[in-house]
Amino acid sequence: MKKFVEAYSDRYEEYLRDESRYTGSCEEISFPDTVEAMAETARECLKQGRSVTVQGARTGLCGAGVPAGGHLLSTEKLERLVSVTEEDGRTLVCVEPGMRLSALAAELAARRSGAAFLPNPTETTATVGGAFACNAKGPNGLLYGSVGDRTAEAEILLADGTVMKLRRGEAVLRNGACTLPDGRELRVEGLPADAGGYSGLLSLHEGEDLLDVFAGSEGMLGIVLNLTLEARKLPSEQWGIVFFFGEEGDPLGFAEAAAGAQEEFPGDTRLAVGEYFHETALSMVDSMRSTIQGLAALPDFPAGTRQAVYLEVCGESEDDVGEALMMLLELFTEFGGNEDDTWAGTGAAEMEKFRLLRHAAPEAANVRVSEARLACREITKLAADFTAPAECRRELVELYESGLAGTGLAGSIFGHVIENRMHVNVFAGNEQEYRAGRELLASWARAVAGMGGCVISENGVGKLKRELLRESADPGRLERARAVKEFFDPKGLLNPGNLF
Amino acid sequence: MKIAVCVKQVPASQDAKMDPERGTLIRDGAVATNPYDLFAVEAALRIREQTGGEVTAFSMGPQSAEKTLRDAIAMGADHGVLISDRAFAGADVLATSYTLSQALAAKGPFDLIVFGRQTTDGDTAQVGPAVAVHLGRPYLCWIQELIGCSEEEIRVRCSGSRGDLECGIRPPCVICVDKGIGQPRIPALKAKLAAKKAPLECLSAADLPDQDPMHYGLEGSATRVEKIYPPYRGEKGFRLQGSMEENADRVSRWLSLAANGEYEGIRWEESM
Repeated sequence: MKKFVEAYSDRYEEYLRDESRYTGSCEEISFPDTVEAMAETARECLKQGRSVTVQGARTGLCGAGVPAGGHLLSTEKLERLVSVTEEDGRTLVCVEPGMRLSALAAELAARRSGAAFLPNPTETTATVGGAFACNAKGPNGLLYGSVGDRTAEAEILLADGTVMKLRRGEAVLRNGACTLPDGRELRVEGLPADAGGYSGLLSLHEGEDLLDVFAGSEGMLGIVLNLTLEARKLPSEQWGIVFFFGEEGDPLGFAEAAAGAQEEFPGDTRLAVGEYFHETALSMVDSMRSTIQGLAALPDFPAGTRQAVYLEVCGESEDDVGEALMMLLELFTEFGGNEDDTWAGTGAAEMEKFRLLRHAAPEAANVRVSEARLACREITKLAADFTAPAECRRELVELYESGLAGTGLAGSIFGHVIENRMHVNVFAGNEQEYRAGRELLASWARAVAGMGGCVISENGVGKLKRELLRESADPGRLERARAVKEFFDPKGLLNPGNLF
Repeated sequence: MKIAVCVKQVPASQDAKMDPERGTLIRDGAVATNPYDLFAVEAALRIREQTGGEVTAFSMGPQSAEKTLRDAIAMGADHGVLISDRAFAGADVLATSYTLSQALAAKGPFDLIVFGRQTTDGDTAQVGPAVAVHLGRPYLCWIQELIGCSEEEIRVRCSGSRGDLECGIRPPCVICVDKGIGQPRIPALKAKLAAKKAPLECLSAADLPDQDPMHYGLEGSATRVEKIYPPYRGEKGFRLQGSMEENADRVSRWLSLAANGEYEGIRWEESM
């Protein structure tokens, strides 16, 4: 087993940070190439009281996979597809935790069965394990939910060295308790009725499946050895449309109307994706066409473009989808759009261009943070993915706009507009701006909490957003999260430093 | 100006399979418009914007190639013509270019015929020039830029083995354009929806001037493909994906290892 473990040295420096640019430390690092070796390595560490941080592709945005000392266990060599089975009309795909989302998509596409893993976090180089750990959603979370929602089963190494096989539906919190597969009983006092928009440990609520508690728990409850995911057949009709708005247009009004119009779409036609590009995000993406891979292949935006909304519409009937698209086009002109200022594509290959555009928004932000770090090493990513109630959609964007204008800091606003879960990045160029940016984020978190929103969504808490969480989350949720962490990992050895 | 643009539907995946009997590609997977042909459509539309006239898209292939014609119409082409007949199956460059030239003659004459640089399945880059020869027209290939277009002259910049060449060509002519001419436009929603219902014309072997079946399809082909196999790939290359500073650190570390004789190749994971 020793061959997988090495003492930390400078050659592994990049393993000490993720996309957030938050930097940690570790004493040793391992790259096991089988799940058995992974389990054995972890057991040995845990037995000796050494903490273990499990790390995926380092694409995280809040430092959850960045080690806080101890042993760093990389899953990058655990990238195999274990099995594909058909069960009750579902395609179940068992994969190792280090498999990249892009590789999973390619494997399923190569089988030509039409089945795909539908949650589509935009960072496709992320690992399945990492996406499960933060319960990533991606743009089409609107229709297909999160990675956790589509997980049927997980094999998890617990802190006591035992392996727990957790199947959906077999361990559910009822009346504040649930029985684990090993017979133990987990009891949690004062469970609320719903998740409150949170994931993982923070989402604890009555009726919750234990699998959903592990999804989004940032590796703090156990080490995932493999995951069985539910793949589904892609709809036969898939359209992606970018609606570009000039100065006079009202993209937020359009998005809201599109969400409402969905109820009147014929047949099974649905919106799968609803993304917003504020002018701060769109102009940044435009300025980085030559920097971000693949972006140069997009034509120029229509003249006068300020903001945009990207929608994906899907269904089984060509006529029904066509009718829904015409409804959207009418709405677009009603909210100030020019019908020629759209980009439309059908099928995966054409829509890939639009997804690339969407992914360029966070990529452009990451490039800007990296550049700022050349001048000031203290700078990390300053970002949030607050969720506000639907009626506060415009209020949320105005909050960001006024905050940026008031501090004079640059920012970038984009994201899941239909769900009102929008990403905001604040850019600092020096230490003083960095501090101001942190304060700005904290003030937004308080405001969002005041709206009845949720301050932590799909990107997780990790180590960067602990303060935000402490300042704005319901103390009861934190208390219950601590109790469950204590139950599964009493010595606090798994992914220490996250959340609390 | 009367402009024709030739477009082809190709396998979307690189994992092409071959029929060992016929030596032809098995086209049963996902398909897409040949990416180079999107640049051809874009060039045709840009030229039409300068000269006026109309653009007709031609595609030779099975019925499913209709989708490729509708893509061209969604981008802005005025008409679409599908050249489809079982007699055309298995055609090589010679038979394909002859069939296309017959169809173009049947629907023409055209002042300008535009091709993409090559297709991603055959990869020969010969069909455009061969059509020009069949039609007795002058042609220019490897066009990177459209400098100016009029009824009298298409002025372009071509890339060549000894550098770029600025030159003009007089219609009627054939041009083969490369990616430098500008990014293909993405259709607007209304145009894309309208294109799905646009009428298409279909030409079969019976509609072509030359009725000799020996000139079409497998019979009219001068070559046979014996084998298709993926090219040998040497050591895996990679792109450094970190920040400028991180990448500089890595390269510097590898160079100092090499200088000390300790270099044992770059770990794949180090590149990420």
